[in-house]
Amino acid sequence: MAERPLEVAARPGRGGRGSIARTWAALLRRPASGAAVGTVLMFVLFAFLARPHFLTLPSMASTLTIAAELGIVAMGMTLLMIGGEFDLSVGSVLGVSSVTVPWLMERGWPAAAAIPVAFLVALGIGLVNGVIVNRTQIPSFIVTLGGLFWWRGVLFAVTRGFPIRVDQGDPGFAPFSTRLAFGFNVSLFWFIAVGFALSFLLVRTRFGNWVFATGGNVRTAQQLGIPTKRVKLVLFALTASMAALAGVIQVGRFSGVDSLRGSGLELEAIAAAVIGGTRLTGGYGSVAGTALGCLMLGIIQNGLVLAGIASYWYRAFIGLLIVAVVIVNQRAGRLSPPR
Amino acid sequence: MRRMLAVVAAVGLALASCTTGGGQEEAAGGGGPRYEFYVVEHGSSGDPYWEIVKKGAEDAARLYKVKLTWLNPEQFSIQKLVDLMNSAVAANPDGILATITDPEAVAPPLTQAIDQGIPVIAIDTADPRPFPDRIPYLFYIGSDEYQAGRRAAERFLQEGPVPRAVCAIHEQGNIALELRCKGFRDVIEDNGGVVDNLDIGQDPSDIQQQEQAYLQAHPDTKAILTLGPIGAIPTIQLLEQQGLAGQLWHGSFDLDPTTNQSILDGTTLFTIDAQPYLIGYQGVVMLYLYNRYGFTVGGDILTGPAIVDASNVEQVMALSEQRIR
Repeated sequence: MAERPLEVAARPGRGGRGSIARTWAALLRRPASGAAVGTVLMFVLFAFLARPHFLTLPSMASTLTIAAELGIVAMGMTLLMIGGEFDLSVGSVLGVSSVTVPWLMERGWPAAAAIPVAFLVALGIGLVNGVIVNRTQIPSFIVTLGGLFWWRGVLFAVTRGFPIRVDQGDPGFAPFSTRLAFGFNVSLFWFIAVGFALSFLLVRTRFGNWVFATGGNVRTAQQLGIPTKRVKLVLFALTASMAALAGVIQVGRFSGVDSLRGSGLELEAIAAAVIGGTRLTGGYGSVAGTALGCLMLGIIQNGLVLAGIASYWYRAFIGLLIVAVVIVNQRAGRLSPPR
Repeated sequence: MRRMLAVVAAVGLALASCTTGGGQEEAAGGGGPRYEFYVVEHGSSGDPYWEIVKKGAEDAARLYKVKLTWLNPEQFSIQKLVDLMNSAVAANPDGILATITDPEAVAPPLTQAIDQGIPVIAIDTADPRPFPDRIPYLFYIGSDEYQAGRRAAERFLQEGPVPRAVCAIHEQGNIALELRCKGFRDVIEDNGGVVDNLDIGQDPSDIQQQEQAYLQAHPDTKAILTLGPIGAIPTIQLLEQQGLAGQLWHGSFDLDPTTNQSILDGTTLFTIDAQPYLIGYQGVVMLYLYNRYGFTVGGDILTGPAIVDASNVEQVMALSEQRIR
């Protein structure tokens, strides 16, 4: 436990003192490198199993569409997990924040005005999660489990079980959900942009160091004068906002919101983060690892279909992968020389 | 890292054996081409109704030497359904059978498939929109859900007046189920009754608790309509445990051994059969005939609604045991 804060202090990017070479060496030592190897292996495996369909543009489009929407949520979740907390409500928050878009559009709002409201709703929910966790000291697992059920119930009440539709042609959706050639979606660019932004925030800013410190050992962090409660509040708000972004993207892609939108997303997001090397105990992880974890899930989901394998193998495969990756990461962690 | 390689290699080998096992037997007999069809449907894994559709499709696939890949989200999810469709289209098969669970959401992948020259037949759930808006699939094979709901209400009303009834939905957001409830409600309300939709979910003990709570709050409930075995099986148990059999009328959708036995016992009044075996079987046959000879048909193929009650249940039960009805 005691060495965690030291680990934080040694992290590159603090004050911008680390040289490029040292940053690179540190990156290689990070779990993201394990996820990168895994992604390449999966890619090669399915390029072989699902030949000749896997190495085509529509197939890549399908993979990246899956990875992008999951990734936007999972990368937000990663920061929260590094900060030592969970958010099990992301799937329900995705649903309930994005439903405000068709709900307001039914009442005459243009998409461009309704979409910011969805983000405000998510931001509000995220802050509520954060305040409850900070004030009551109840584990975020419980608080957001409650949120998962509560917001799903609200979504059922709003939609009454029927999907709420929107006019796909509304120009407000263009930046979020434009379908490009070969079935690629504009969400891919959001995935990349969010990935770089969150990665920068995590490894290049003081706030990023606070996140590592808060998740590593919250008492030590407090003794160092880090406002851990404020850090957590921001992280909950950020995670919920990312859920809203993925939600708005999906409103455009599916031209509406149904009452089950986003259900099950929380576990997939956590799975992607864990496959990407983020630790459940907090204080350790990376955005790049999670992005690769999402890519791996996309490759597997799409690859199994193209290989003509019944879809129920997807879950089984993910289960194997999670355990295998964590075992490898654990061993690799022991092998790497202490700093 | 070597460990990870070993795991991946082992899993890869296992998967490779899965694919080649089904894929390598050559078309025997007729000597025709060996087609590859995909089925993409919304049912949760393990839903007995979809097991029968699958049996029909697999029986036809074996007879016609078709390679069939079956895809469905483990739990109902429009997003997963659309993602699976995107991947199925990327596999460029000789035909796709798809449920039009959410017409606007499934339109992009299916339209792309049709543009690519892949024949698409809608099964189980049709696109309700009229011609210019409808996804240009060949035709639809399945039941008419709204009419099926009306038939259910009419069958209850044959027994006597229904002042209050429940329509128990196990998949919130599934338009087909909502349409059944709508047809049901329209007829009951036209005859002076009230209908509440109850979101029961899919967990058996939750279902019983929700129904029990509703019945306590509304003792004047005369009939309960479940929309498939997922809702029917716990409901039948509840009725038998509480001694309500015969007093509270139960009607359902689809056939399964429990529902059939319950009709025989008199606990369940009737069930509405979409004859799902026929959906899967005909779907594969029609795709085969389209590929082989360019055949299509003049309109949708309606496989239901057909009523199964005390008058014909025994005839149906023998086939039900073989997963044919």
